[in-house]
Amino acid sequence: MPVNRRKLATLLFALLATAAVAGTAAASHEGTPGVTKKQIVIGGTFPFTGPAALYKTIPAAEAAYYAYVNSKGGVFHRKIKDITLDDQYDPSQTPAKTKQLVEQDHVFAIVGSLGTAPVLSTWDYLNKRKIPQVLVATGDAYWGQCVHKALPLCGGKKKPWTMGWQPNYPGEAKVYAKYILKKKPNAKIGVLYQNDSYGKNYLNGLRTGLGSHKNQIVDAESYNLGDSAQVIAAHEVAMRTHGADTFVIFATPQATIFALVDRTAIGWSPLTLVNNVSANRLFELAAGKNGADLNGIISSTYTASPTTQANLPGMKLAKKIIGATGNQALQQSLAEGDGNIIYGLASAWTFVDALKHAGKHPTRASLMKALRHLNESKKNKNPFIYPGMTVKTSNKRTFPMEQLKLVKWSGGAGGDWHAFGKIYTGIR
Amino acid sequence: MVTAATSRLEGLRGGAGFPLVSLVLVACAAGLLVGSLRSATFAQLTVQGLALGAVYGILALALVLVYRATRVINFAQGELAMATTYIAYQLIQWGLSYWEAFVATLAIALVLGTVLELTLIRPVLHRSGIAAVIVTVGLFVLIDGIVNWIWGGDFKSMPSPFGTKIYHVGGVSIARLYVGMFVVVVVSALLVWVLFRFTKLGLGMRAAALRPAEAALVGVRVDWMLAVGWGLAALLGAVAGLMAEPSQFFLQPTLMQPILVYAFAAAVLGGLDSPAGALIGGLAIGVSLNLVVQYVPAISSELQEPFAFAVIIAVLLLKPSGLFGHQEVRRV
Repeated sequence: MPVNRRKLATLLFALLATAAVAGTAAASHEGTPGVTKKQIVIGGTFPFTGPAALYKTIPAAEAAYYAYVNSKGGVFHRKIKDITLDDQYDPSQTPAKTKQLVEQDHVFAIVGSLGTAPVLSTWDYLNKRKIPQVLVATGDAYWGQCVHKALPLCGGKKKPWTMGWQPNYPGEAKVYAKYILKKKPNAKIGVLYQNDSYGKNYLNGLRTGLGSHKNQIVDAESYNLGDSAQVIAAHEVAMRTHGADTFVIFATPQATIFALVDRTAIGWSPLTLVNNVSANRLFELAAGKNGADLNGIISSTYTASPTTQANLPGMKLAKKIIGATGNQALQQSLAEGDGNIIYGLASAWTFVDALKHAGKHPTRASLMKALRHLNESKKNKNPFIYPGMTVKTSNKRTFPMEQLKLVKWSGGAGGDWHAFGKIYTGIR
Repeated sequence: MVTAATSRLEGLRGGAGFPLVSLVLVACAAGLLVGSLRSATFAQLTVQGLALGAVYGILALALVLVYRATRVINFAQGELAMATTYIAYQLIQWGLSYWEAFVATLAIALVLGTVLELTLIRPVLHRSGIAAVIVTVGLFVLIDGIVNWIWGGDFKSMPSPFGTKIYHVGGVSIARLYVGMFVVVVVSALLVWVLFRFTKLGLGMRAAALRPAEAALVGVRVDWMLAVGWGLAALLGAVAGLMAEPSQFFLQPTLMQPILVYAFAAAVLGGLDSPAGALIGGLAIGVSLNLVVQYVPAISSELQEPFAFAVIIAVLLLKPSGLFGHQEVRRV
């Protein structure tokens, strides 16, 4: 049998060699992973299930926008293919899913992945491989601060391939600090925050914003993702016992809904502020349905409202794009004022804008360059963001969206958010 | 013959130390009352603890029924409760009112539990108890998968059975929901007690659980009784699921997972073979969790579940039969 074995070995070698040659040929022909003449493949991780599943309309809206762009011929005749995977907002699942996108699906870029902890769990991996991790759906300061500097919070290394989109959380918290000090100078503040980097960064932002008044935070209580409504209620009872008359919620939607319902259930009525992540009309309606008293709650926005600003061209376009999906649940969400759909559309709009500016033969580097030179104003205006705001970047300005407007809830359980006051700028 | 068996069974229930336990319980209740009168915060936490503790208690009661019937710890009890809650959700989607769906779901749960015992547990039970326990672990995964497959992992909203009204008593706000949860659980438990205590079926089930050989000799269909025991447990689980859902505002596949941990703690605390112990254990766990987190600085909310686990360990080390369970005596 030795002859046969040798034959087999030769055959195997020949096969391998052919495969290798073919492989190099394919690589050199394509140039950039995920980009062919007709298609550009991107991917991202999102919570389709689990405790943060209320965010799942974001990837659905992004897919709807890409389908709309594809129906108009795509970008430079390339159709956008978006592969979205479920990581349940669990940073222990994100790396495997991201690796799958990079190593099996060979995506061009990771676009829009959701959640601070999930994104943090993969940014080393992606930056090392120089793969864009862009327009991440989290507003933490990391994504803008680590572009040029290797700060300690950046894990000691620059992260030039990672980039956010929305206004950053600590900056948002500073706006709330300003509002509280103006409205209620002697406020005694109770803070409910998620026990991870997301919640803690918000809390730190609030402390910074309060400055010398930061001892007015009489009680800061943390909760864990997936905690029951009763745990949240116990935290609120504690805050009330500490004398808090102002209640700031830095939470993800489910916990925010619990907090709003429980607040009413325990008969507590402090001045209440929720972060804009949870200021989505759908969530407040859910809380109202379960008995929460909502009037007077404060939050902020940077996208246009599909309910109170339904006549804006952008909101009409949103209705058309979501209508074209044929997804009735999604259409209903939009009609009820799901701001996350507008968020998804707006961020997908920015990605397509960047892709247009990344050239006819886009590379990962040219995409990053385009994203670092965004200017969505005048004729190139992002139709989904709040009127009067601009998405803009430069080598120095690394946060695309630096503006916010305060909103207040009125109209009870079936009410809505209404914007008031000036546009705050320079949110960092 | 039958009456003789009953009195022997009665004799088994009260163990030594029973009056002491009752005394401790009365003292605890008095403590709660005094605390609640002195501090509104304390009262608020107690009220919430009682409502949720009732849900832990009813699920613990389901665990106890299964344990008494087949000497198996059913790890899938919580998932079964969650699945039956989804069935109620589906019935409501199809047009039934909440309470119609509630009753229908209990009936379905009864059948489902019985069928599970007949098809999955019985074939392995006579080989070894461990095999049956492992089957329940498998059931846990299976049910979770099936629910995710049919209904998806996202949040479902069910109509609120008790509305959103809130009563204000002194400085304490008592949601009607909490009162409703408590009442439904207590009534269900009472009905089950009546069934066991005053009906022939109940007597047969008790006899089959405690003295299978003798029960068979006097004509009780032991196998059938054990299956019905599983059915009743599934029914109580459905009550637990249906009462847990409004307290969490949403229905999702993970609904019962945290609750199961507390139910285990409640069942072990009360004594794994004591139905009354399970309920009281549930209330005790519910209230003490709420109070401990608030008043013991070292235990923050992150440590709630570990606290429940600590209770399990402490009971197993110090009084393995729990507060109300009877100690097993074996002649060697």
